[in-house]
Amino acid sequence: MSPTEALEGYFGDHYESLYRFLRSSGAGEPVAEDVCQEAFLKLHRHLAESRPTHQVRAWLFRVAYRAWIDRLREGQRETPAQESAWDLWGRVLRDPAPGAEQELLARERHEWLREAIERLSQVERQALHLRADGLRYREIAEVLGVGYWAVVDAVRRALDILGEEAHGR
Amino acid sequence: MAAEPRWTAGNHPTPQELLLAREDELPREEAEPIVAHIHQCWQCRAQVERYKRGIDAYLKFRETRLDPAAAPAAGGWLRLAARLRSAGADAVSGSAGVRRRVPRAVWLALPVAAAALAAVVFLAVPARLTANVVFDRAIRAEAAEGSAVSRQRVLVRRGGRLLAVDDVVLRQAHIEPSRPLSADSFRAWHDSLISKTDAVTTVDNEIRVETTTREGLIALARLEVTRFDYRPRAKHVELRDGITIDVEAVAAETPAPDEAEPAAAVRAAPPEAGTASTTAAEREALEMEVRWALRRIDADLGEPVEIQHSGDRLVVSGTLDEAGRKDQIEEALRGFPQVKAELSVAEADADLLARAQPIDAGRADAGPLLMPRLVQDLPDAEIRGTFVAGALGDAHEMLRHSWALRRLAERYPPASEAALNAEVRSSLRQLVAAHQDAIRAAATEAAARWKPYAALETPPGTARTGWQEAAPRALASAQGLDHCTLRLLAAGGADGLTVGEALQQLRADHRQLLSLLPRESP
Repeated sequence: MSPTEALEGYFGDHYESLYRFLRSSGAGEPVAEDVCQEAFLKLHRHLAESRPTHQVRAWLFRVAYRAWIDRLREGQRETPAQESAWDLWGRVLRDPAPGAEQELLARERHEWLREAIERLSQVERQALHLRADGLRYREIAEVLGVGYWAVVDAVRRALDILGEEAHGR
Repeated sequence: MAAEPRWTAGNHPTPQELLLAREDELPREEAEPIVAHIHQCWQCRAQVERYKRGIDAYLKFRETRLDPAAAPAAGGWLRLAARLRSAGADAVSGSAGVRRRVPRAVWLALPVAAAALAAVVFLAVPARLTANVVFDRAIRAEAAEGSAVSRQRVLVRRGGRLLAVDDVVLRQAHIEPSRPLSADSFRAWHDSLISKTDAVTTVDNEIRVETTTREGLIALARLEVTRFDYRPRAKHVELRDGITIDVEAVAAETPAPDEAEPAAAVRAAPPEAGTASTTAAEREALEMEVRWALRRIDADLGEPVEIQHSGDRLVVSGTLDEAGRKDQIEEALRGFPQVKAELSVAEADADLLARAQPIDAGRADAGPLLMPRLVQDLPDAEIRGTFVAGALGDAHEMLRHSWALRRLAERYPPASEAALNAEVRSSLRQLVAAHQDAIRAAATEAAARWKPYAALETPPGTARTGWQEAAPRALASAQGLDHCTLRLLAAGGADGLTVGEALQQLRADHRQLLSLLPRESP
């Protein structure tokens, strides 16, 4: 299998979840795609050089997240991206689709969930996101650049809040 | 009598342990009693069910709200394939996988669309030249170069003086010996940093990316590429220990066929010892370089390694615990033709081991002084273990570097230091500063770690005496600090110390040690 064919397999397996993670971490649409592509281009170089490819998913998340943080720090072109990222959370958490009655009803039914998610910190949301995508705690810690126990605590707090709010619903 | 199970109905695991047990994050022997406890304890079962409800709620949120709103645009692979192709990747143009997925019409339209898109983006948004952009283009230029790699020269210097090129230094500088000018390895190092500052400048016909960081051994690294085609033409790396490495493409003379090796790194060697006797100054300089070589692999922190002059040569001798360590030191010294390594590996004395008496548990004194409180504050054994190991590590680090300073002070008393030529003296000062920095860093770590139990001060250094005079006192403080740390966290003893006294002594030794260092330079 050529590196490009192998890359295509990895792309199919991980691209969507990587993209969504970057979006939920604050990257705007074009930036999230660009950062994802850079991570896959790096993976391609690894594959072409026959370097070890274990734990590819965690590696991709780590590389992409660092690249995104770098871009944030560079402060270039990212102001609109940030706005659009907060638009994402705004859309997800607040704005009902105008005129969509069914959507509105569903939103009312899930109002408690929206409020609970809103109570979570950024790290708690990120840790939950990555855990839901199947990463282990140690991998999440590496991706986010925080300690193992910080991740455990973030997931625990987040599940506590959500589980408490979900009680009896 | 059977031991009481650790987790009973009246004795609960922490919420973290409950979560980790349900998440298969604990070893089986730790998880099983917790799971058994959950079955018999309603309180903990309710907690676990709360987690489960939390998971269900979050998955519902992802499925209904977040994932639909954050879905990527279609065609991601096509766009990536286009980038791969422009980077000259293998056989992308003929990738059967891509062709299988894409209808023929789309496939045919893709190059046109990609070119149009690229043109629009190029014209509408003038790309700002960032480090990543330069790396991308430089790597592409290198790839286009293929096997026709230019000849490259590596120069390693300290204080302007040329040194032998050794692989340990190159590895520390993230320079591939076979492709020293590689933009790829520069980028790999760059991307591995969490905290860094990039500066991209354009000067005449070249573009420079300069990255500075406080992480790792490299303080500054610069890659220079030609403005015309982004081909890397020079690299400059500054290590924290004062060494600088310069890599440059050798001027384009037409090389003789036998010189046109692909990985033609020309290693600039320091002047050979030659047949004439080396001067005392040269021997001093050589010794200092050897000390730095040992410093880079931490072989000057208490291992029985001696440096002695023997005529024009230098002999590094010692008995190491492991063959691997011996090899590592020999490797570090390989770049010095005038140095002879006489290293051996210690063999276990079977008789001595047989004569060893088992420790009499009955005579054991009370355990570590702080342990009861630590167990209360950090009930999780793993967290507690991490705290103890970290604190012992900090103390040991201060002790090892204080020991190294004392050794240097013995070797270079003030009169000897004054007799060194300026370059070697400057190198010695940097070596001393490296140890002082390491002590300061470990002391700062320790202050943060001990915060819940002792307010360790980190005063700026106020040393008024020379470093040689301060070295024995610093070592005594480091030994006291190491002893107190051990007594508080890891060992019993019959010294009659109380917790309060041990913590007070710890504070005093910590303050004294830091006060013996010079003020940190900004």
